[in-house]
Amino acid sequence: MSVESPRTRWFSRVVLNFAVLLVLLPLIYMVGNSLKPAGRTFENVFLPFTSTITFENYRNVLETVPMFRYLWNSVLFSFGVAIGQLCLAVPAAFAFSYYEFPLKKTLLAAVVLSLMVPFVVTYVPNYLFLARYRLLNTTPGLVLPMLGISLGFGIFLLRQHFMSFPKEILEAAMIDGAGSWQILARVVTPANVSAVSALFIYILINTWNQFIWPLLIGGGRQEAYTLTVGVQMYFINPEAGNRWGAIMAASVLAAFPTVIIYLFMRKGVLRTFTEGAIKG
Amino acid sequence: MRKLLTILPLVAISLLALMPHSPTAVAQNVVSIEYWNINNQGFGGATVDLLIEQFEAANPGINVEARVQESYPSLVQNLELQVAGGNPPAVVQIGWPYLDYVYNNLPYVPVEELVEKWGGAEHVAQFPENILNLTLMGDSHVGLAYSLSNPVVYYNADMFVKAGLDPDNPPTTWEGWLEIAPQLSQANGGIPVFNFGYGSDNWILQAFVESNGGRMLVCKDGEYRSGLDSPEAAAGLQAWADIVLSGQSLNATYNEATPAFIGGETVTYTYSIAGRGNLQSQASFDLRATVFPQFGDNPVRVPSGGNLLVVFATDPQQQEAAWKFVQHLTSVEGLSEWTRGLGYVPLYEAVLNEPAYAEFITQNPIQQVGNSQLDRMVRWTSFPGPNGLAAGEVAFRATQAALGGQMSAAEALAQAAQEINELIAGQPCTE
Amino acid sequence: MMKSAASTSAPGRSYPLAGSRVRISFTFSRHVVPYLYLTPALLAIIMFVYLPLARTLYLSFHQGNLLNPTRSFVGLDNYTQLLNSPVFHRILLQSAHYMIFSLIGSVLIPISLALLTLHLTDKELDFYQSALFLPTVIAFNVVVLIWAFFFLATPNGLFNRLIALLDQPPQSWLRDPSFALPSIALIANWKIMGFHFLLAVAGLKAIPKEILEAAYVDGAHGWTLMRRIVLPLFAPTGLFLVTVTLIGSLDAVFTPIRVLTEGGPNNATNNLMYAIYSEGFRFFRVGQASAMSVLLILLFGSAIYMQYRLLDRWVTYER
Repeated sequence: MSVESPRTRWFSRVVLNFAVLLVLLPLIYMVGNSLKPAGRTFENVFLPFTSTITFENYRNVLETVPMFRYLWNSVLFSFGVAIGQLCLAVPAAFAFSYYEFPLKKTLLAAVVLSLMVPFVVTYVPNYLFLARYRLLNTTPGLVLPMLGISLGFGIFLLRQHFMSFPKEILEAAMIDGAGSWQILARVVTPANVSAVSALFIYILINTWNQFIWPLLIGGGRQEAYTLTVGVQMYFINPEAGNRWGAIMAASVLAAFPTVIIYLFMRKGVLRTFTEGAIKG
Repeated sequence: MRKLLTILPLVAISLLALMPHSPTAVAQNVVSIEYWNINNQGFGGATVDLLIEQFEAANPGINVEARVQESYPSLVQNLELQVAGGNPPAVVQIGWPYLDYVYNNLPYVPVEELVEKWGGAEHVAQFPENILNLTLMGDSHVGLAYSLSNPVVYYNADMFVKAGLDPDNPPTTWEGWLEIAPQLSQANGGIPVFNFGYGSDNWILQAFVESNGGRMLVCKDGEYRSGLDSPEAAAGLQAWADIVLSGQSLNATYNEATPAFIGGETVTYTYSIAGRGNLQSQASFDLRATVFPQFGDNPVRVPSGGNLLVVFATDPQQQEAAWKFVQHLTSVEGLSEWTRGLGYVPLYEAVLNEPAYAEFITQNPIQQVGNSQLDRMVRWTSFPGPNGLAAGEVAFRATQAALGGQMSAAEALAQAAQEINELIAGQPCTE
Repeated sequence: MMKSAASTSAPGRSYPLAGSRVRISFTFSRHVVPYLYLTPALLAIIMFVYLPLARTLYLSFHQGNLLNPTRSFVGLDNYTQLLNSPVFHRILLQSAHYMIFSLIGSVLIPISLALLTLHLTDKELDFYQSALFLPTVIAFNVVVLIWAFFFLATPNGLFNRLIALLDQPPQSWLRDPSFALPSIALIANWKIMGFHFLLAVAGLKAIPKEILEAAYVDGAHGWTLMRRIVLPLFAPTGLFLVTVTLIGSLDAVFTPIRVLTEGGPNNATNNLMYAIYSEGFRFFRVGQASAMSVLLILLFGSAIYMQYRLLDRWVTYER
């Protein structure tokens, strides 16, 4: 919308470009330092790049750290949680959108309020629970509590989208004799595929980036590390001098998957959950 | 879309099937035990693997799985939870500050019980009494002392030469070091002379306090009290704080401190002798070490860093295997390998005479420095009682306050001592 | 079975009086079906959020460790100890400090930047949104490492080199009590800023174009337009951002604290949430951790309640 003069536009762009530069600068340094030969990191610390670009840091990391195992654990963890939460949230949002039933408001409030509970508060009891049932350092143990912890967000978001779905189509389906499950499976969900998949991606990315929980639950067994935990262990590893190149290489490798997903799924993700959040 | 919905649960289930499960026995007659340690790749991981290999070769019915933990605190945390879940690991490295906590809270298997059930008395008898009793709490030995380290002052001999000083004769007192510090710094481009590698614990604090005549803990009228509110303790910490606040020391987390020293950004590095292996392999200069400096004429007292080995296995087969493994780790050959690989101090004389070690020690003067401090070593203080760990943190915060210049050491320690006394109130002691 | 249900339910079908929701009803039970759909999700939330909450409350009246959390019953002792402890007061103060930094970095700045985008095309907007959002998708503990690199205490650390250009001596950023908290706050706000920028832009987009254009035609330009039209209409989103920020501020700094300072030096970077974590998982004092958790929830609860009331009043005022 352009109700203002070109001068204001120019000013806005300058400021925003500056903001973008500041925000992306650390990431540029991260990548740049990973490509600097080890030992030359501090040669000219201001310049993120040197004349020689080398992949030796990456080779170093990949040789000493089982990145692919960690990658796989991250995949299991985030896909497990994302799929699990979808399976739980879609029906729940459906119920909240199209049904009236006693306690509906209370239950909806309970769902939304569950998001306000700080995660540290749930960690100790959930941890004790997993310990009692011997689920520590296992992937089911890692995934299970995560299914409940931020589930409210997905339910809320989907409900927003479901509710703005044109009712005529639903009525038509009912006239055709469809049962509730069929309406959910064959009408509502397919029509909201963009919202559902955007939610899926959102949960995927968020779970992938979790660090505290996987460290708590999987930190005792190296084979159970996720990518984030692996990078952390690598960082505190007291290998000596000038290892910043390797640390940066490990960071880039760990950041890579989510950035790629984000770049490809950008539009849908950004649009969907801002719409949902604001409408609420 | 419907297809997707029906496939989704199937995918979920198959993912569940693919997930790694807890390890079960590898084969029928193989006993599998877990060995928890904090030795990642840069800190002895390879040596651990070697020791396990040797053990498994000599004991085909036993399979040892090493589990590297992030740090002693997270190790104890995981340990506690796994014990709560009824599945304790067999052998665990317990950091010295956690000795009291383990003694009072966790179901360890005392050495006495292990010897009674599975033998090994002669093995234990090899340990000199003072080393053995490092793990004595009440009237049982919680475990066997394993990794013993002490702080030494590593220094860059090349920088000494540049400053016109004799690298073979570094100072032995703090006064001496402070005297030559300006010279050292100037000749090397104005870099800080000092550098202290410490984690979130009271290791270096104890070295300063107790070498100056103070004590971390004292026993008064049958109860433990903090000894930090004494003038000697305050003076010890203040000495450290003065060095840092005057800009003569780098004040960095020990993740930064180590690379800084190796990168030639400080002249010295006060750090554990256990870091020797790592430093020696990475330093590109003439690396040497000397003893922790004295305060005037006061005898040096340095806390033993490192850990002890504790057995938690409850299943008889696992317990026997665990005890065997512990004996292997603390055997002459095992210790020789361990102390050579890292820098820990040999626990008893027989190790010194082991051929590989004997050869190694003649060629490694840095390790000799660590060994020479054996008789100055005291147990790394672990505060008693259920609030012991919180008490330790209070002491650490006082250190940070003094080093950050927020208050004088005396003030910080007085406050800390008060809080600590509240936290450890009522803990009985005998002296 | 479904078909017959549909035909027999024809008389049972009803249409809503208001809103665009369709009521679907079946003869055999009006209400079982929605509950069936809800149960799995509710179960997960109850089991992993609300039950732990209840357990935390219960544990807060005890003292014990992870192995034996109910070792001794102490009633309200944990609470009185906390409320009387100067260290706890300090931690609360620090938490407030973090919130203030968050208000600047995660509310003021994103909103200001969002206001600037009013004059831009959608394509440009898309670019800025995507670029600024990038840090949000990267794992926090990974991205903290590059900041650790910037904040290195050695003289050739990047920030130290920077201030050396201004003839300032090198600082120990993360170990200096005056710099540590702002440094941590900077890292956290840097990460969240893009996300909040997104939310702010969405909130602005929700303002109907016609109102803006009408006001412009009526002679309201620049600052007047901003003050009398845009900001009031943006207020609900702004309030939402403030609440989300305040509640999330302690959460957002958790990872950098855990990785870089562990609450130090001397509690200078500690806050209520990290303190809870420390008590529970570093000092193994579950009772104290639980009591702190309850206090935290009470604080948050009141904040949410206030936001709810404010929003209510605002919205009714608007009408």
